Amino acid sequence: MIVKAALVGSFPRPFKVGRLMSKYRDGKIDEETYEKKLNAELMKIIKKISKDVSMITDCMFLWDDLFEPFSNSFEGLEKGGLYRFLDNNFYYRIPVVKGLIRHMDATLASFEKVRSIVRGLRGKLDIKAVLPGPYTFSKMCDNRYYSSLERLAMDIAEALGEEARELEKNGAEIIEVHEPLLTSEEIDMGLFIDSFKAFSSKFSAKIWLQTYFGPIKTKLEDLSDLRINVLGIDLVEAEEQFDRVLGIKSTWELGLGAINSRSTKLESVSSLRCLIKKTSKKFSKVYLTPNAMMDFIPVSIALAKIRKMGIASRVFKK
Amino acid sequence: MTDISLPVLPTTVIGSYPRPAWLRKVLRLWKTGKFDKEQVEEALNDAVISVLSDQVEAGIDIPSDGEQRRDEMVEYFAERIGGFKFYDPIRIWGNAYYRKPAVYAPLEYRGSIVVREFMFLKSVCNKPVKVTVTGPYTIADWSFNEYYSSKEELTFELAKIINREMKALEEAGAPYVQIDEPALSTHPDELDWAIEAINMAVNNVRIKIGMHVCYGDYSKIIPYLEKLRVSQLALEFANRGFKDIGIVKKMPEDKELGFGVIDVHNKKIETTDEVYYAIKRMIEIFPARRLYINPDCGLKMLPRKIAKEKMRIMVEATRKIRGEVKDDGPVIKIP
Ligand SMILES: [Zn+2]
Repeated sequence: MIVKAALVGSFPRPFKVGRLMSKYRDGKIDEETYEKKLNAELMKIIKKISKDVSMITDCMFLWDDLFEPFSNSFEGLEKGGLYRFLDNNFYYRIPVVKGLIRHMDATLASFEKVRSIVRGLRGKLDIKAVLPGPYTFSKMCDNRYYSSLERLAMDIAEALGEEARELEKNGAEIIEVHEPLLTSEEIDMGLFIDSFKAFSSKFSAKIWLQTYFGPIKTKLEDLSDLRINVLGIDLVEAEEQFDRVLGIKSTWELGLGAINSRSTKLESVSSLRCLIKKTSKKFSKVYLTPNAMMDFIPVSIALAKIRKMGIASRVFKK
Repeated sequence: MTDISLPVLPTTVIGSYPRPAWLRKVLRLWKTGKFDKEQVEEALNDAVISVLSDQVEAGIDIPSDGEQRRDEMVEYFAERIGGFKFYDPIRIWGNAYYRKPAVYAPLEYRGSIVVREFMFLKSVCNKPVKVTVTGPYTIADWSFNEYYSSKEELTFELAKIINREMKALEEAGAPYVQIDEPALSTHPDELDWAIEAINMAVNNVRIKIGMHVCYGDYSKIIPYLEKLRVSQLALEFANRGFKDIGIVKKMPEDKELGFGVIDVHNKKIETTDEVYYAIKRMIEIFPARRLYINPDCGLKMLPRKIAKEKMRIMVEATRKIRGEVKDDGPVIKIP
């Protein structure tokens, strides 16, 4: 079995970086200074993370939230008011649907920036690209245009699929797709499956499907028809998923979301190793990950948790 | 003291108001040791007077001290209650951050938290004032719990502490306290005990108590209002484009509504007409005599000039509609 420590979604945007961005957005520093300082800060962080993790995302450093980049770049969308992101004290600009949704410019800046930083590092560090999934996206926006959720979800799926294709063209080998609403009581599986299929048919890069903040509310078998390479699940707030996952017949690789990204308490390395061991018969490849994006904890704690991930997964390397 | 009679549709703020630029500078310099405590205290007092005069000039009936002394609503309380510590700040949206506290030891009430704020405000203001207190559930929800066995246990410990603070405020003569519980609607499965905790926080406190909730699904809270022992609910509505305002029809008859008519996360200033029609729509479905007019939430994220102008517009729209309303205004009873 191969075991790797990996990030999902974001690494918390450090306060210093936030200050820098505000200054730039308010026109208080010029682009050149901003880029130079930003790259230096991001380099520092990625260097630290890369000691313990062998796969990162673009860390969503440039994303204010999971949807914000697309409100700016997709035709038919505008940024609206602040809404709570799921049940967190964290808020996102709601995408307001004002017209037919179409993919325009790709939002590659974040991915490319991190990739160029990674190239400057010694050693190998894989990067995956992050996208919101079409189902969650369509349910979490403010639809003022489409007459049905179905049509909206399918158009968003098309546009996100185009985006994934652009990312793939630019070197992304894995696309991490966030569908936290798979854990919602009111999940419409028909629509989820249709929109996911439409989305995933637009590109051929590997897909890492990520869910969080609870158990997936459908039978895992319902997902087996979909083009999924890695299934990332939350084992912190939904321990009961563990047995379900061990019981499933599939060729998936597993994202073991065992690090609590909403708590400052540090996990014990031995309990993490114990979890990984239990998966060894079932899965050929396991990624030890946080249970969700890490925006909800301080940078110092995120780094300490990543440390634990590194130590826990390292033993399994031959 | 005598009861306080208010005009119909009294205007008020939710609590926070932008800090003057010079205060921000003083606080920065204080951290580098260039000002001493006494000078900072003087600056804070002057800031309260300044933002109070902004509100009074705008025509607000029930102003606050703009929470000038507080960097952040949970942080301020956590800094003054024993058992909390802080890590580096975390992001809440865009590039807005806060220092999320962590409970690492048993909580301890170390003496009054905001009474001093009220005493100063009272000394410089001849209008009825509102004092805000962060609610026990929100403090618990926005903290990391490293000590108590459950969030519920932590919340009830906090409720006991907030109750002591509420009693201290009553003792000091505060007429009107608002409990801020923006986290309340986020975990519907916890509402049962959360409401109980808030009731514990206001237990045996006889002054007027309101509660502020924002940016959530209010329909989850409505069924619990019957049990909740506060007399007013101040809610955000402008940010959501006044969607679902019909929900207020389900509020119990003993509760007033603080109607949020100004978006605090948008620098665009509302027009008098926009606010006027929003209120007009509201009084068609909710009795004017139980209605207060306020912005969605604290104003502190806005530039000061814009905050003041937004308040002026809010008051102007309210005054315009008062002429069309026959109801008497509410009365704040003083125990
Ligand atoms: Zn609020």
